[in-house]
Amino acid sequence: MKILQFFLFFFFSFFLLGTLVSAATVGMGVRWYKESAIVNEGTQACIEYGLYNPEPWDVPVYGYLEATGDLAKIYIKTEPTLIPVNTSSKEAIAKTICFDIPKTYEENCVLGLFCERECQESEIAYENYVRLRGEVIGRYTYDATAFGGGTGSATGTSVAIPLELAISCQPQERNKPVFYGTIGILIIAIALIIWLLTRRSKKKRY
Amino acid sequence: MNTKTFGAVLGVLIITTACLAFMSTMSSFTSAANVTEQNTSSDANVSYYVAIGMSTELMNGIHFGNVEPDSTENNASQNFNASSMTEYWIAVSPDGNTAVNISIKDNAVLTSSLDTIPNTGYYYNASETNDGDNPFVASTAMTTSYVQAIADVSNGTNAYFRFWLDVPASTAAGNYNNTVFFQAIKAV
Repeated sequence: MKILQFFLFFFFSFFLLGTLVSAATVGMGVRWYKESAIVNEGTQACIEYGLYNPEPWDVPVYGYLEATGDLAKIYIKTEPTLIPVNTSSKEAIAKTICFDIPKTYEENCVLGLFCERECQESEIAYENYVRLRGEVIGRYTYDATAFGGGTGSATGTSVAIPLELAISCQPQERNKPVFYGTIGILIIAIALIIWLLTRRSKKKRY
Repeated sequence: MNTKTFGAVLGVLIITTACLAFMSTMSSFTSAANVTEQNTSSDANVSYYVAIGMSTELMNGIHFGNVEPDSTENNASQNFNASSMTEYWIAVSPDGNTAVNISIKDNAVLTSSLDTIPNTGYYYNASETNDGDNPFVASTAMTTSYVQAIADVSNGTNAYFRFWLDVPASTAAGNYNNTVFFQAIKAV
């Protein structure tokens, strides 16, 4: 009798497990808090998103963020993060995507070191900021069995969120103390050289 | 120019440079106006959240099984179940706060080593209804760029898909594979 119970237990366990595995569903959600941002050139700007994996989906996923459009070349790739099953939107796991904002506006530089930027009136107006447009894509991977035999397609899903980064023009003055200090040191150095040369030629004459 | 004169000129130059540096430092100092003002902060955070997932059969892939050369509109294996309903759908989770548009693309044409089946014969159709007639006939060919398949799918509902494949007469024997992607974007 006990042997029969033992076999029945295992039979139903495997049956239940098999049903659950074959009925698995997978997906991921993205929560976002902004679709545009004002950023400074030459800096790294980061935007936070939330990744979640709500019921009834029952496969843990590894979520990550990518960018398209103008943002594709400047986003910094990150490692996927485990998003466990039953992670609701309220418990979304924070995931940040960062962008290397390029130098955009012209600078006037002396000796290639001492730079200043005078933002034009038109560049200071928000509506005239240089803009980078694209989408942030929430994707995921999961431990899946390989695509079976025969002709057909593997599948995947993602969520796309529009994002516009407006690069502000920041007026920048030359660092005057360093600038004048450097000129002073240069003048002193030149003067010393001239003085030394003059002294040497005088000594030769006598 | 004797040494004394030169020394004097040098001294003047040094003092001038030091003065310029000091003045420019001073110029960065500003005096605050004596203004009395009361203020308080004010903020509002608006966020959206969307989740999409695949049905079990879609997660397992879109299979056409064994198909004959020179055949048209071959049904994907789960286009019609015993109840004449499709088993392929994208679920828009109830844990979301906006409707979405769903777009579709593939990463490349169906490929087997050096041989391919063109996207012009890989069709799909989408619907919010799932029965024998919906999604209806093979209407839109797959492309390698996202194309909107269905608009304004509410959270808590599904977008149902069917897929068909034309196999040209000259197609070489082989298993032809690629990857199909579904993407959700907030409906405007």
